Amino acid sequence: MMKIKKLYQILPFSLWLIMTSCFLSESKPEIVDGNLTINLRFTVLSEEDSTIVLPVADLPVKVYTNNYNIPPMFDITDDSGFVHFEHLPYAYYVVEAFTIIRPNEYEEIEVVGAKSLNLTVDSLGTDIAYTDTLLMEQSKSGLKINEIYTAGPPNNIQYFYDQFYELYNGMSETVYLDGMIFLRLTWTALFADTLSVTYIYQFPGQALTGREYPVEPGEFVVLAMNAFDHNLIGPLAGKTVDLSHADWEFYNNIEAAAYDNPNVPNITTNNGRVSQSSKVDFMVGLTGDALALCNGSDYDQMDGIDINTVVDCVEFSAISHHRKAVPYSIEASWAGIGMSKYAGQSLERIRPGFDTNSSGIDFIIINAPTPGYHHE
Amino acid sequence: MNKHIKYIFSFYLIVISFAFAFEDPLVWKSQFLKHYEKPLNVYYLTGSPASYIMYQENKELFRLETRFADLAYQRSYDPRATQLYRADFSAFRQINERSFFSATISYDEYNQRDVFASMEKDFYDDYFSMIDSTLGNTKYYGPQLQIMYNVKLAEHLFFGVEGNYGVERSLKDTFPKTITIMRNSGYRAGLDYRTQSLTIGVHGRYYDDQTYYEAVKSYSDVKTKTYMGYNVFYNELARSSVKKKRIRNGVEYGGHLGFSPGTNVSGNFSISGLQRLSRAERTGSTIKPRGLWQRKGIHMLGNLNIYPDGLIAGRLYADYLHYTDWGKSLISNALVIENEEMYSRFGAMLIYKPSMIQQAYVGAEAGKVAYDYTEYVFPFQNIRSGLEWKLYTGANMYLSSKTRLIFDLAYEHEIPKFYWDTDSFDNTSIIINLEQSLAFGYIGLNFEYIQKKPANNVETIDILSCGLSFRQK
Repeated sequence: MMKIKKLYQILPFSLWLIMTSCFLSESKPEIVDGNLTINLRFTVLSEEDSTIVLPVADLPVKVYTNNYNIPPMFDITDDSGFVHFEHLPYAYYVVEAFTIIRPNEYEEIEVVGAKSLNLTVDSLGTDIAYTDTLLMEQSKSGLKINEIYTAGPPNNIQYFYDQFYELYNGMSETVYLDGMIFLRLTWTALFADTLSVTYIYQFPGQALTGREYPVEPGEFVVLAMNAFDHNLIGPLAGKTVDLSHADWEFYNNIEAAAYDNPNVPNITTNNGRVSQSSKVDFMVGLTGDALALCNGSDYDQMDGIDINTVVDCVEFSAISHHRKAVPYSIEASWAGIGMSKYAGQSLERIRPGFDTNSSGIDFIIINAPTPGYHHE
Repeated sequence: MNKHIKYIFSFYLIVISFAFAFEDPLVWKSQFLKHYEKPLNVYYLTGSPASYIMYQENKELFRLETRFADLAYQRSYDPRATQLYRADFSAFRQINERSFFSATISYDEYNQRDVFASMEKDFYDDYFSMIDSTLGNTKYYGPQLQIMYNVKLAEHLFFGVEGNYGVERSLKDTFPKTITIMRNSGYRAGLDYRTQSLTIGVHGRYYDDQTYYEAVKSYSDVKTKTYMGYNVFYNELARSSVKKKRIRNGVEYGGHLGFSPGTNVSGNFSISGLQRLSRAERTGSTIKPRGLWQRKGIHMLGNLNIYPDGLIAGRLYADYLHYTDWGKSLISNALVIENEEMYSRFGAMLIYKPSMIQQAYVGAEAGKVAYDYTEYVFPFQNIRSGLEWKLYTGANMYLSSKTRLIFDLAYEHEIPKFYWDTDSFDNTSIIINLEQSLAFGYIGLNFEYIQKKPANNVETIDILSCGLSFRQK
């Protein structure tokens, strides 16, 4: 009897083992990844009548994702301006199209159509096709922050003092840096009309009217945190940049024992006109921060810098869910998602001066900094 | 002598079972070629602890083992070489006439040299493996414990239960470094109704494997990537520390049947259902699920033993394993992988046994393998199938009254999966075991050499094992 009782105890255990298999079962998804289709139509406003949109034919379009190691895709729009990309996985994509339109024999217009697409299951649901129309815009020409190198060279000694910023004059006329201010921004309300500032540095000269510091059309200007050859530091030899010939150097007048290259003019702070409490050099976050170049007509940062004085603004962050810091009116997104510290990476516009006021589209991550010139 | 042979059986069984504690295989690896001196017991087919043979005395075993592998031919994320050092101690206790208990404790140190990027112990063992930006040597180490209890509940009714528990740590000794903590447990249970001529039983297995990874790159970013299969990876956000957790659970359940109608012929048949679920996620302040995959399959196997009283005996065996996998990305919640594999083999072994203590055998087996693997994120499909075969021979002989020699020699043609980047391997293996009887026990020296040669490359994989064992008389 006792043995039978033991058997009754064991049999449920055996059954439990079999039943466990049911709990280890998941339902197979019905949606297959890699089946997504992107249908895009590219249009441009008519030169004659701006209420009419025209299709852009024979436009080379590039679609790529940084989520996966899949190669970028290229195709050309048909006569109706349509282009289709098939067999894509759910991911975040960037669409880029660039062309030069010749409305007549003597005129060329540089137009861009670019957009970031969130084509994940969260946004698309069970849809496997995404359709959109992109109105191509003229790239806004002007004086732009063209490159941002802040993430440090390849090293394990936490060296990032080779930071620099590059300006580019995409206008057809000479512009002047006199009295302009260069800002490191902190979080500002996203619909505010003034910018909150952490650092404020100013070019010499009289803002708006000064003509001492010209930048010619197509010229690059390098602003260095420390204007010397950083390759002279042993562990960095051959891994970083020579900034001894930079065009400008940041200099904080109240920083103790600050490095100052006498051959490079300074952009200064605490200079009697602009002031900040920070006693350090123009050091910014390695893989996340926000910068602005302003015309200098408003340089009193106590009540914020007037957003209408902004010449260019760039926000960047390696994090895709980054908390946005700059108002949408001057910067629609941010650049640098996926960027790494201490890997020699830099952020540069995809073409010199290319600007749609959305840095997520305008900038790409390049594997080595290019001070004073544009990447290939 | 019969008891002596049984005792050797138990030694191998224990060694085989605890070796699986850290990496739970999908199926129990059947030992068709082992123990040819007598008809094969159903335990060798199923691993059911209820089918384990009880012993009437208490014993201890001690064993040291080293294994070196040189992977001159390797896959992208394989180590260039591996070294294994293992020590184990086993004790067998007869509790009473009806019940039996055994325990094994062991300690492993396993070194992988020049591992490129892989955060995993075996990158190819999972569809959602992770790599980082490391290159270096990894050391895995930790203890394992295995216990088994076997009881005769009633006349002809046997019950057995077995548990394995292992904790393993690892450290990649480079900059940046990767730390792994693996906790692995497995449980088996079985119930047998056994008479002189018939055995009917059920068996089951459950295992739980939880592995935590942490990749750390002081002062800078570690760039991790999660593979969705073997070709496409998802770029994780670069940061100075990345953590991952993998949870893997599986069950195996089935029944077995053994018959022995006469004294010369006996046979066993087993059928099992298999199921495994593996989930990978990035952990940290927020959990980011990455992938989940499921495997379901069936395993059937059987053997027929023909052991007449004369000089010649024979053994026929067959094995069939089929399973299907699917994997979904937990980023897109969509299907990303499908896989189907089938293995079948049929073998025959002829045994020459001039005495109870000396035997020689020769045999052959052949079978078909078929793989059908598909990735969807970026379309990829590989379908391949082929014939695998193996020729083998060996002997168990006494060189003197106190010295025994066992050797096995095999040549095998293997069809590997696509990621080996070769159509086939030709494997050669030789095993030599030398055992000396002394006044206080038996000392054994074990030597094993395996060479795997790919069809399209002059480089080979070479594995050399050496062991020293002591068992009580």
